[in-house]
Parts: sequence; structure tokens; C-alpha cells
Amino acid sequence: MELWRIVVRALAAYVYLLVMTRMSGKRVVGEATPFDFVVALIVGDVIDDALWAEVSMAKFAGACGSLFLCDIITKLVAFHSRPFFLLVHGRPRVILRNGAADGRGLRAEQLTEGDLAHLLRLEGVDDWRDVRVAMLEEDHGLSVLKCDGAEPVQKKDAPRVRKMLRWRAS
Amino acid sequence: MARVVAVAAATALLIGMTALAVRQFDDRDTFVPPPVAVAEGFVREVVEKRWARAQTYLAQEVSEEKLRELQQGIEERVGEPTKLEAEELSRGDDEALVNVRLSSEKGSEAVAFGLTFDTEWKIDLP
Repeated sequence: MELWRIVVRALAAYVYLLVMTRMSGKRVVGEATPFDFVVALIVGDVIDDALWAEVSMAKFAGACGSLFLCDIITKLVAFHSRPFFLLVHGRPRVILRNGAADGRGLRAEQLTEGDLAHLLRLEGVDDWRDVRVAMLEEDHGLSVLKCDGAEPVQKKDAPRVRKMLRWRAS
Repeated sequence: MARVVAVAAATALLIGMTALAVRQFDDRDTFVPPPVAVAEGFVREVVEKRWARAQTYLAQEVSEEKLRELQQGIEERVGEPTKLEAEELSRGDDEALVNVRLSSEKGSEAVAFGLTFDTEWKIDLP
């Protein structure tokens, strides 16, 4: 197969996919949902067929365009309808509350306490008692709300700290 | 909504580019699969007994029985092919002749296919 034909097909597919990914929103790879990953896998398979001329560029455009169109419409409807959003993305789930693992939440997400410990360590949490609520978000990222006493000292705490130090000195 | 329109427009543009390349610039290999890829794809589907998908490579629909005969003939002579190689024997503007060689431990067999062009290359089964 002549090289220049592959180059032309690759360029056409590249520009087309650039437009498609640009149009499908500003989410970055780290924020991708499992379904975004599935779409990426399917597109990866379709572009392979297009680059090696196993399907025409029109069929490639038809297949990719339909996928991206469905993806964008799903995102649009999910943006406007909360019930549809929950249907597509699920809801955030509490997996730890007031320092204790939430068994029901962990079972629902098929996580073990070991997995929870791992996720918390990634968030810099060693002692579970420091955590008020830990939630597994729709993108499978963990968000952690710490107890008041476990938060790092901030500028607003300065008067209280100064007062404590004065009290100790006296 | 603008995004939906942009995606539809980009898709229509690429489909339009393919049509333009084929109709205005007589493209037979770049935006459409060349005859060797079509013949190879067809034989792969027949060997895998995917009759419905094999039909999509044909200029005219043939009976499943005919495809089954072709598959059985290949199986008898070559067994389960491990290698497929297509070679273009001749090419006109809208006609091509392609030889597909199937090889396995049992032996090797070449099957020739005639193809015609009508927006895409399609196999003409006799």
C-alpha cells in the first residue's frame, strides 16, 4: 500500500477526530467516566480499520459521528435532567462516615476495606478518625471531608493559636 | 445544540469529501478500500462463516449456500488458513482482478475474484 495514501487517510482521520473530541466537551482524561473509556476503545478500533483502508472514510465518519453524536446528546440531556444524569452516571456514594467504613456503600461499589484504605492514603489520610465523610464520586474519584480538628492550621486560626501560646507561656 | 450541529457537519463533510474524491477525482484507493483489501476482507469473513458480513462485500447478493460452498471448498483444500495474502492481477477504471492466497500447514490455495467499482469496490461472484 502506497505510503502517501496512508498519510492522507491518517490526516483526514486526525482532523476529524480532533474536531469530534473538541466538540465532546472539555473533560480531561482523568475525569473520564467508564463510558467515556468505552467510547474511546470503540473509536480506537474503528480508526484502525480506516487507517488500513479496510473501510471507506465515509463509513468511518458514519460510525464515529454516530458514536460522538450519541455521546454529546447523552451529556446534553444529562446536563438538563437530574434523573437522567443519575441514570447515566450514578450517584456519589458515602463509603466512610465519622471515621467508620460504611459497609453498605463499600458493598455497593464492590470495594474492600483494603481498597478504602488505599484510596484514603492517596488523599493523604492515615487515620480514618480524621475523616467526617468520604464519598466515591461519579468519576470514581474519592472526595474526603475531614473533621474540623483534622484540618491543617489556616490564617484564620492565628489569633486562637497565639492565645494558646500566651496561655502556655504564662 | 451547537455541538450537535458541529459534529453532524464534520461527519457530513468527511462523507462529502469521500464522495467528491470518488466521483470527481476518480479515487479508487485512498478514501475507499482498494480491491486487495476488499477481497481479503471478504475471504476472511467467508472463512469465519460470517455470511451476513460477507454479503456486504458483494456486488450482488448470493445465497448463503453458495458462500457455504466456497468456505467448504477452502476448508477441504487448505484446512484452517493461517495466512491471507491478496495480490492485484489487473486493474481498469471500474474493474479489477485480485488473487487471494490462503496458506496453512496443510497447503496453499489461490482464489481469484473479479471486482467492480460502484462508489466502492465490490466482488462479483460468478
